[in-house]
Amino acid sequence: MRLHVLAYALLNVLAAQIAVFALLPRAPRRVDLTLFCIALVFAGATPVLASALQYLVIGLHRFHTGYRRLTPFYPRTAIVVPAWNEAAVIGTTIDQLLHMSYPAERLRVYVVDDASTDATPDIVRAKALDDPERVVHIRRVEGGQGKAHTLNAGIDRALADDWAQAILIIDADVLFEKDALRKMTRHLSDRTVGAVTAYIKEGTPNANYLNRFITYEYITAQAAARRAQNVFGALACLAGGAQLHSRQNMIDIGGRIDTSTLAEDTVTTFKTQHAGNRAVFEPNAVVWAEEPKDLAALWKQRMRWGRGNVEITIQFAHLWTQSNGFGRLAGLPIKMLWFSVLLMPIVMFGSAVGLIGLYFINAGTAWSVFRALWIWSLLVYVFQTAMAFAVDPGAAKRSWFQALTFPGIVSLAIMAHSACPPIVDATLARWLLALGLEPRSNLAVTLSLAMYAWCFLCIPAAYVGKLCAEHRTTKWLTPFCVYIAGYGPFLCAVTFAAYVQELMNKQAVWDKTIKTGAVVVPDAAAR
Amino acid sequence: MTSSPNEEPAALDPDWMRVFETELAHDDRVERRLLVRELAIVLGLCLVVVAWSILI
Repeated sequence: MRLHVLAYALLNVLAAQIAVFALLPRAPRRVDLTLFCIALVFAGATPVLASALQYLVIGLHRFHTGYRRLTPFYPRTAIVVPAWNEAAVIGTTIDQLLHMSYPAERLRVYVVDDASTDATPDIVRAKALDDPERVVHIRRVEGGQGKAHTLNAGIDRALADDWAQAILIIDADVLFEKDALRKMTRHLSDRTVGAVTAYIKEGTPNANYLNRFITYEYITAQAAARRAQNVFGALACLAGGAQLHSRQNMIDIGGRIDTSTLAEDTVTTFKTQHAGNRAVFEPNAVVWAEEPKDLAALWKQRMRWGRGNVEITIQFAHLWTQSNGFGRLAGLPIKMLWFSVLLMPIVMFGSAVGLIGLYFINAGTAWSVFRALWIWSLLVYVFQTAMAFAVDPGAAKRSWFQALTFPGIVSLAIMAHSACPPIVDATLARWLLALGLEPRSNLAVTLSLAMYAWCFLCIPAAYVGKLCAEHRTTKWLTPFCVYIAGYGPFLCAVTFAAYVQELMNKQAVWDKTIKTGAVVVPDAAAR
Repeated sequence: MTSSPNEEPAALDPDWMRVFETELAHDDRVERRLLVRELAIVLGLCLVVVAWSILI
């Protein structure tokens, strides 16, 4: 309801703007339109600003870890593992959990077998027979309802008696480093903390280009961004593959995981903080996961996340308009980070429209504004990339090429053009002449306009990569599309498609990401 | 072992206490190193911007 009010208010502002514009005499009208276009362009810079602010505070994380308040704490922990046809991974996952460096008598693994039709039940039963004190097999007769329903079956069992002091929710394919759990549980010694999440890293051996992009993405979106969220005092998402809850927190949020959205982990995060408990990120607790190897599978996974985020934005509309009861989650920094991701396709569209508009009003002004926007983007890109190498040097070195090409090769060329126009202009002119074209030809003008609109055009360009990935004959083109248009714009395309699907009220389907069990925990030296 | 205020106390091997202290000190060093690296990056970037504005 409040979103409708907000949309109505925005429409009124727009209508008022158009009315004022129509009533103005010709000369000031031009100035007014120019200012409007400039405002649109710089609205497109807000996600970049949010990102810069986020990275600037990462260094302060040392003062916000809460380490000084912690005391040794190794609670009896029930690990709930949802498993639906996970025969390829479940055995290794259980073994890895049982061999973590943690007091053995304080660990129990509850595997919730969601009516699997493969060898999952046999594998889990065998593990439960080997270690009946520590492995519990829970079989759901009717499955396929999604992860949240499966988790609830395990959580009910864990809360049914007094044994569990903490509940760890994981995915069936994630592998915990030996020290990861105890690095998480130590935070529960602080009575204000209700939930803790770990740093999930991409761990596929023989990683392809996409795995390396995901590796880099996780450095930025987890190791870096969640450190910043710790500094801001609120967490936007406890990773679904590694979220530890105190028993009390689980009870405070109703003893169940929300089943109404596709992003049950984010809802749990919001509810934890709404219940007055803190949610924190522990960057030194590392968990390895297998991620999709092709763009079509990644699209499905990210679409689920994207739609979940849109659903949550609507479900928690009161959080965005009134702050009562949400603590720092309702603070400006978290709101800015949340909406800078969610609204990125819209502001990028506005920015492109603003630049094209300016180009036709006053080409000189358009060029100045365009340069300012892209030089700003270049500065933040260099800062972010350098910080990613500082945050997780091992992973960043493994994906160095993807780190450099994350915004896309075309965007990199535009950044270079903005920073050093004489050099790039001379090179471009040489190339055009070599192709037999005049630098001032219609083609050159079209190229200029495309360059001005690229901040939005990169999103459909990245979408072409997804289309290529769906057909056998064009699949080979996919990496080129991602490198040229950028992995960041690909994520924007997913967000945009998530809006469209939510607006069309398309049925939400739980598309499971297929796992092969290829992931391994690397040696310490290889991390 | 020091228990969480909400939980019952329980005996724990002193080795686990040492593990806790060692890891906490190590992780604190990791975060301190990150702070130093960030300061170096920001300073380096400022120098590059100044040099660029003089040269271009």
